[in-house]
Amino acid sequence: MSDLIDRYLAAIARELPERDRADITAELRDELMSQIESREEALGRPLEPRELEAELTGFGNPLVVAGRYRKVQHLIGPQMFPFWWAAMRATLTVIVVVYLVLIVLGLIFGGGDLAGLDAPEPMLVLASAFGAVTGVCALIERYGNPAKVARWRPERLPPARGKARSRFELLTEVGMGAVFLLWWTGVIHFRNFAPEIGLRIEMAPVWARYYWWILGYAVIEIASNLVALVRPDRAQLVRWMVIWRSLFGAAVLLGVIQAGRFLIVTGPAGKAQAIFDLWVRVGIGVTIVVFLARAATEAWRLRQYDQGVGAAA
Amino acid sequence: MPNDADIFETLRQELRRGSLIMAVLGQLRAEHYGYTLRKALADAGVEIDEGALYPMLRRLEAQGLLASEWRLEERRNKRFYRLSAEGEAVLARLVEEWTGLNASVDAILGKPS
Repeated sequence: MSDLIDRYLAAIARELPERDRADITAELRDELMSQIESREEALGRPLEPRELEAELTGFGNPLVVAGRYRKVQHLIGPQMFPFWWAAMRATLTVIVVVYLVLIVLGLIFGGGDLAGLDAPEPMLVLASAFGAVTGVCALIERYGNPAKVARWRPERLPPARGKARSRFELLTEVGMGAVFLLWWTGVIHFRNFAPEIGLRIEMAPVWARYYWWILGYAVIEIASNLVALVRPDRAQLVRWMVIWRSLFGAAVLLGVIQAGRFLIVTGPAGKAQAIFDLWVRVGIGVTIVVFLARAATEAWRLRQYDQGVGAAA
Repeated sequence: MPNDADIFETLRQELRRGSLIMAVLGQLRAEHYGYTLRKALADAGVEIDEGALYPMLRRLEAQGLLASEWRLEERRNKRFYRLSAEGEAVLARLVEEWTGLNASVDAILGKPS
């Protein structure tokens, strides 16, 4: 009988901090022995092995019994959980958008093969992001002050009226911006040739001339979306950022469109050079119009807001 | 999906959690070791399993609300607990809080207090 009790208490002891191990197991041994003796007294005989097993089973799984003495009972508590969940949703949305864009681009340029894009495995990225967000929240839970994270200021609430972009929309734009940035800076590559039809496409020198301007635009776009996400109360600031970034984008593309050639098409399909350039020119033209329309819309909304504020005052 | 019994059990445990500490502190105005403390609480109608009681006793002792000492009794070493002076003061405040809360809940439920 005592062998089974010793084994049970040893299993609990293994899970306890060394400092308290002897003390806790001595107390648990006394409780267990008192329970068994009381039971034996009631039955008028010693416990049979299966009855002793039932007693120990009722006392609890050694891991659970020892776990109750642990100071930390959870990785992320109820105060921290909403922030963990919000951070996780935002991170996973960006990753999913990035990979969806990569898959679509892969289908177009890489024959549907993500391996051709030099991008890390999606599952690895998802698992790393899950681990990183959980790890940071757990560290705040353990060593930081979750109550401090929950502090907020009512004046930072987004305006109740006016059309605000949803968090999903903003995260999607951040994700797409990230893909563009990764491609533009050469971190990821897309296949630029189609051997089956002997087609190879290179960027014309005009893009290299505007490399830093376009990089700057992409960074500003991501930054303004992040500001809109983190500080939804600064709707007016974000509108100004969108206006200036759209005008900046239109100005850069107005410079690019002056060039005669946007792509260098080589191979037997090189005869299609003029058609490719025409389509890119049309694309750039449409983008400039979109930029200007966006700037005008945001300027109109700013004006509406100012008039609304004036009328309210 | 939880059934009515599960929901009731969860709510009952939430309701009991805070009051168990008060019952333990109250019972330890007289000295007890773990097993007799559990028996005394059970006799008074407050069941508590050992898995919850012993970690709670250690926590309360670490907070300075209980004092303990190991002594030989009935052929075995036992750890005896007793309410400390600080524990007495905290218990008095908890009882005051409990009485006020009880009266408020009784008033909400329409019971005479």
